[in-house]
Amino acid sequence: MNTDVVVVGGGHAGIEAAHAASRLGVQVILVLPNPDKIGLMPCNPAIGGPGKSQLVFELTALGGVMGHLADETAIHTRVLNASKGPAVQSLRVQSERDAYAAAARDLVERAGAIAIVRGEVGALETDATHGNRLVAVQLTDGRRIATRTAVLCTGTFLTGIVWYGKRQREAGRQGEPPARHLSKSLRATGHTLARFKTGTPPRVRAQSVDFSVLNEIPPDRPARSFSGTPGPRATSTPTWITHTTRDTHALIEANLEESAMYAGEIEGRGPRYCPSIEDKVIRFADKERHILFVEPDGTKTSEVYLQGFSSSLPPELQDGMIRTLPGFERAEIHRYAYAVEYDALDPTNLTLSMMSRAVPGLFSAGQINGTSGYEEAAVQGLVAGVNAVRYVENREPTWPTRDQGYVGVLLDDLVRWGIDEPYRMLTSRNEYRLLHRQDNAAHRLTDMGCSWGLVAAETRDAVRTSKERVDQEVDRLHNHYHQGKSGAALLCRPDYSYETVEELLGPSPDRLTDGEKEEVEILVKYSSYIDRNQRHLDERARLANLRLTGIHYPEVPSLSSEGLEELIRARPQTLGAAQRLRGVRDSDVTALLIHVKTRAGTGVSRETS
Amino acid sequence: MALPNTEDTIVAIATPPGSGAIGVIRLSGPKSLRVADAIFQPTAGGLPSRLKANRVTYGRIIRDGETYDQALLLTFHHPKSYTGQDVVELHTHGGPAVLRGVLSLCLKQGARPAGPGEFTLRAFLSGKIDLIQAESVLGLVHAQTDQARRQASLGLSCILSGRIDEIQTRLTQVYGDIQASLDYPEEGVPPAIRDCPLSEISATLKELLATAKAGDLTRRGARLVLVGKPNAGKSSLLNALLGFDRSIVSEQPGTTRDYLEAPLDFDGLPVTAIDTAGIRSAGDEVEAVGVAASREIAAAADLTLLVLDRSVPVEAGDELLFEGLLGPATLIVANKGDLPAAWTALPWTGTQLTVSAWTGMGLEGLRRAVREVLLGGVSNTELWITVERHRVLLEDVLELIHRAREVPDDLAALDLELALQKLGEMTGRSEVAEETLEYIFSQFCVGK
Repeated sequence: MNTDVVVVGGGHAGIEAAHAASRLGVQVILVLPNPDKIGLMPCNPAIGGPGKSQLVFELTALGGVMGHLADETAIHTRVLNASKGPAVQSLRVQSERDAYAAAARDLVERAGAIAIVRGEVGALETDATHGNRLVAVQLTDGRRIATRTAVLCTGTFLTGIVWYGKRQREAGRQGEPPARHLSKSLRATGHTLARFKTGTPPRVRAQSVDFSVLNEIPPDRPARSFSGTPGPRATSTPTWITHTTRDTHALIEANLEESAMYAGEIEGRGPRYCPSIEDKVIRFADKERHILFVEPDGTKTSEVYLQGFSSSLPPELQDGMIRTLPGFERAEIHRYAYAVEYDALDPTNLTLSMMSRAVPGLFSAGQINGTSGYEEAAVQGLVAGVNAVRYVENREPTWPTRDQGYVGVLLDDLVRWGIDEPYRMLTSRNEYRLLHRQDNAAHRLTDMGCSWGLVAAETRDAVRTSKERVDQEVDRLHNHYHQGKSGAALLCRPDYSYETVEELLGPSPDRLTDGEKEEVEILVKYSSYIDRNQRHLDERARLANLRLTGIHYPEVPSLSSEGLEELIRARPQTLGAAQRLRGVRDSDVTALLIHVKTRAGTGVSRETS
Repeated sequence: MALPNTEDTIVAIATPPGSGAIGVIRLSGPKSLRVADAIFQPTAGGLPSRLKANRVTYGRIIRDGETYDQALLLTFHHPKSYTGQDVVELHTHGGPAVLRGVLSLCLKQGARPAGPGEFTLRAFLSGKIDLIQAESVLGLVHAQTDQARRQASLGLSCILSGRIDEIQTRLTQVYGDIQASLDYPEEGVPPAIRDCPLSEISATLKELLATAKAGDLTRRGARLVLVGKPNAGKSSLLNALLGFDRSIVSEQPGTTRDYLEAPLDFDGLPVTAIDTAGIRSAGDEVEAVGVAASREIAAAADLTLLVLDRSVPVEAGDELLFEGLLGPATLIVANKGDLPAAWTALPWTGTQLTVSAWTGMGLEGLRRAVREVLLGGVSNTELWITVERHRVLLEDVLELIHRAREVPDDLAALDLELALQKLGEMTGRSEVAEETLEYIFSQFCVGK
């Protein structure tokens, strides 16, 4: 067999990689053990949430498909953090689990240029005479696919072990065999692997839950969406809240030694930001209860998902634990919670285009790179897919930078810092979150998506026009007055909304969409904060161009020892490049800056460009 | 203007200009020890660079193979020195010619004349001291009163830096809580949790800022203006205050203007007392000029003492005469309290004190009142904000915290981020604008 791009795995990273590559006109082979599992949501049936929804909005602007799939199959949508300010408002879309997978599979199958090959990739073939570049992948059944590029999206499957209490079994996911051989091949080709752990909560038979005592959360009306088009069933179900009780905590505390995690048998590092219920009970011992979200798998659901209750305690204990929750007194577990341990590639082995430094042509995306979450996986899949095609076409790699949004923050964090636990996106990871809001994601990144060839020119033009409408309306608010006060000044009052001001000033000459109105309101109301964020970003961009030539790093005072080591190793050309190095802290950058400015008095350094 | 190079070797005369018993030449930088090798010969033989650090060595300074002066040598090795670099001190005889000669020997060996504050700048940039300490060094060098010295010394011993670090730690905690509540809406951390610690932090900041006026006055000296009619006893009162103080400094008659200035030390607070010409009656054309001048001086005062003669009756029109002088920063002093009183209380508002410049009666109370009005009850022993840069930064921080309590969480987080950055600027642990560093270090003298 012969192809341009091999994508290994059909999860959220694999779908984006395969879809983007096929859209860009190359031949794609998608290798996976079971085509029925394409687009599976093995954890909660929801897309979005703080930090993650921003990723999905950006992904949509860049030409990714996750947002569309989630919207199409949505059964409940809700904006979280609505009262906590514009930067952190985040959409969460509950999708029907089976419908999402079906839509994803349909998308992959309908893309003409994607051939699906059932199998397991066992080894990578590289050409030592040409810088170890990738030439083929070998399947465990002996087949060989000649290819210049491969995108590994293996999720939790690399040498996966599933744990129920202290019982373990080799599996990439419940009931699915792991990828047993690829780790060895990755090590042999010069990659470093780490061992990570994650977990998933139990699924409960819906009929056994007493919903009448649960706190019900209605969906937002009208429904919201990532793509601008909410799905037809997006308001069809509420979600619910329950909580742990004293009994739950007592039961967990009494049986901790039954947990493989706490008995020290799982060596992999777990996600601090998505802790198991045991972790929460032990680490936050003073909290009397922990909130749990009850999310339906579908509209005619037979199963509910208990977000916040992931566990590695044995199944026989889980039955008792769950029955301590209000509304769950007679609950029956359909599928027990389990933990999974897997190999992850140290992302510092990668470049920002998600290509391996050791094996040119080899890309990786998603949980294999140590991240956690569908959304994090999807954006890496997109970037890897686009760059695999660019590599095939001998074109320069491309990616959004940290200054451009959350996708850039994710790539930068992974490659520059590496990770020592599963990485989840958080709004606090983004220094410029007030500039990188979900409401302006299209305005920020559609141009890039279009330049990649994934977004139609008409879409780009429509987005540009929309941006102009927003800018003109902001101008109008500054220049039109009501009783001596400008519209902008009025809008800055805490109790005024865009609608109030529009009533006083008269409607905008352009008809604005709700999204555009929201953006106008944010731009005006929070302008002082937004300007401050922007100035900071501009200043950083300016300093990033500062040349670092002829510096004898050991002489630079106040450098941290890791920073010093990395600077000596990498010899960055500019302060910006130094800033992106792994192990170089902000304080190191400050020390470098002072050093450059004080060196040789007259300033040997000059900013480039 | 840019910050000077910090990697070459600098030299300066560290002792003040003029003749002294000894003079000190100081070098800092990578070539310091080599310069010492070239110009200094220990009596016991060997090379200065080979000597143990932190020891005093006796020897000769050599010029053109001849003994130029006998001197003591002190060496400090990187990084255990004031600047963090190799430092050499030469203690020579204190004549200007000797010092200039040794300086030029050092320059010939490749050292560069140091600019103002360059040694301390190097100490800061190498992380030996923080910015507050650097500013305290400046404060110590310039301290005129014991209180200025005490405050600078508190700064140098990291008392203020410690307070700032503590505020920073508490603020970081709140900031972390807000971030967490943004990233985990499910966990529902109540917004109220931040309000209590924030108001506590505000209170701490306000306490610190309350000392800023005292600090400001300590730094620049307070202006105390005495106004009143002729023969009310203004000059006697000034003399009494001076005499009481026993720190007589020569009175300098105003050259072109009609007033006298005298520096006083009010319990560590430097005060310039200004005795104005007597104000006669409002109607007189010629006098009007003098009245206007006195008023102008009073307007720029930190405190005005309106001195009245208690032994003569208040005349009609006096109130009009002193109009504009009465305010929160005015004390009414009823002088000649040793003579029979022509009146007891005035219809004018304001604190009134009875004194006698002649017998000294009430002077102690007056001094206390003056200090109270000027310093607002801040005690000498507590830590004061004496540096203007610190006051501005702390006021900014206070304002940001105040705003953070009014806006949605994500913006509050941004405000607190900036507040933390500003606290870092205070100690110099965060990035500090180059202009700020230039400004701070340009105030130093050469050699410090």
